[in-house]
Amino acid sequence: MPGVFFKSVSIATILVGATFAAVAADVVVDQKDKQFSTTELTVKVGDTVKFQNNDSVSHNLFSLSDTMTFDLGTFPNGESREVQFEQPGVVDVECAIHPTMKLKIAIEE
Amino acid sequence: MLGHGMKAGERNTPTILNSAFLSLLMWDGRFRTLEDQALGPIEAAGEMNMKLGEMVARVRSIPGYAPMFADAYPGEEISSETVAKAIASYERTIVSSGTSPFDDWIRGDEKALSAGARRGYELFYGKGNCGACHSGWAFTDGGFHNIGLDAGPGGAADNGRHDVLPLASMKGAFKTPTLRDVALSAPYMRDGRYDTLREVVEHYNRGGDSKENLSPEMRPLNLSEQEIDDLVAFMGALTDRRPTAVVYPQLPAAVDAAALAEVQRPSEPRDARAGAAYGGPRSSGDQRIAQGHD
Repeated sequence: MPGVFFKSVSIATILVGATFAAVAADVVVDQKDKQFSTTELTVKVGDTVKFQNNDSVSHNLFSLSDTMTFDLGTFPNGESREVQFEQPGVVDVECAIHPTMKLKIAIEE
Repeated sequence: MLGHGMKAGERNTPTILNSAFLSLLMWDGRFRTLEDQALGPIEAAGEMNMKLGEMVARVRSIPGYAPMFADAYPGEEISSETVAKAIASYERTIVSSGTSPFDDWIRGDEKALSAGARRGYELFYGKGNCGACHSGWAFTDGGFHNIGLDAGPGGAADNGRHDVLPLASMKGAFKTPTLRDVALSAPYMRDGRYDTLREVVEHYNRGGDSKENLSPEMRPLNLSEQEIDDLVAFMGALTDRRPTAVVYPQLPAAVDAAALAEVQRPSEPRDARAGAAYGGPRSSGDQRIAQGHD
């Protein structure tokens, strides 16, 4: 029986990085099966979030939030992009290619 | 698509099948709900070319609609909002019935698919890489991809999603259509340039025609003629044998002729700028709503 059609959804995980910056820990957010590994995340001002693409397809993460805007461009499986959050507030991160991928990041003082 | 004055639009009319489940509507995803989308074609100069006030007046002039709207939307008057809700509610009933040969096969009937369609299934998720975007039960990721369509015979470039979300990757990107019942929904592609599914597969087999801002999921596939046939056979197996039952609506009785004449004045020529914007850049909300169904 076909196994590819109904892919199992990966269990959401946030991987806390083993490396530590001077101010705060890095946080890694995974992308797999056209989903973020979490839909909500809280970080501290100055934290860097690493967006890792472990999916079989490319993603293009961006934010148009008032707190911060960015466009990480299209990046494929095996690559990652990092964003440092320097202001408190809320940042909505989406994938331009796959609009059902949504992640809300709260940046706290 | 043919619109007001029998003029051809620049984009192919998408199917409304399973549109109830989409998070973004239209080829460029500019509408988030079917209610928002429903009024677009009525106003669009290139489609029905009618001011919403005229449309509401026409509906109100038909006596039979009053009790129907009162029943459906108690306490609300007949307005563009309730008309939009009624159209959207109807569209949400147009869903796949799960009676395609593919669905039977998924449920365990090994004989439901022809040998060619089975090979096509393997190609769809393998060598053909179709499943990268045509994923899930409706065979769409609801996403936006530049699949390498060139400007086409008309020569006009279409920026697609980029007009709504101006990120570099979105230039020339369009929403992935569902493949449910796709054999019934020719012509194909966002501008309807192909009449057959075989032409569509041949396009993908070439890896697209324009390489500008091409999706990274696109590449030459090196499919044989047999493999192209197999993919077409698989897509043909996504056609429901029995459509979801749709009750043909009993429309209200004919209108009083005088009342109709009162509200059925010839439409005034629409704003030339709005006409020129049809299919072109759409940066403001007003321009977006002036666009239609495609």
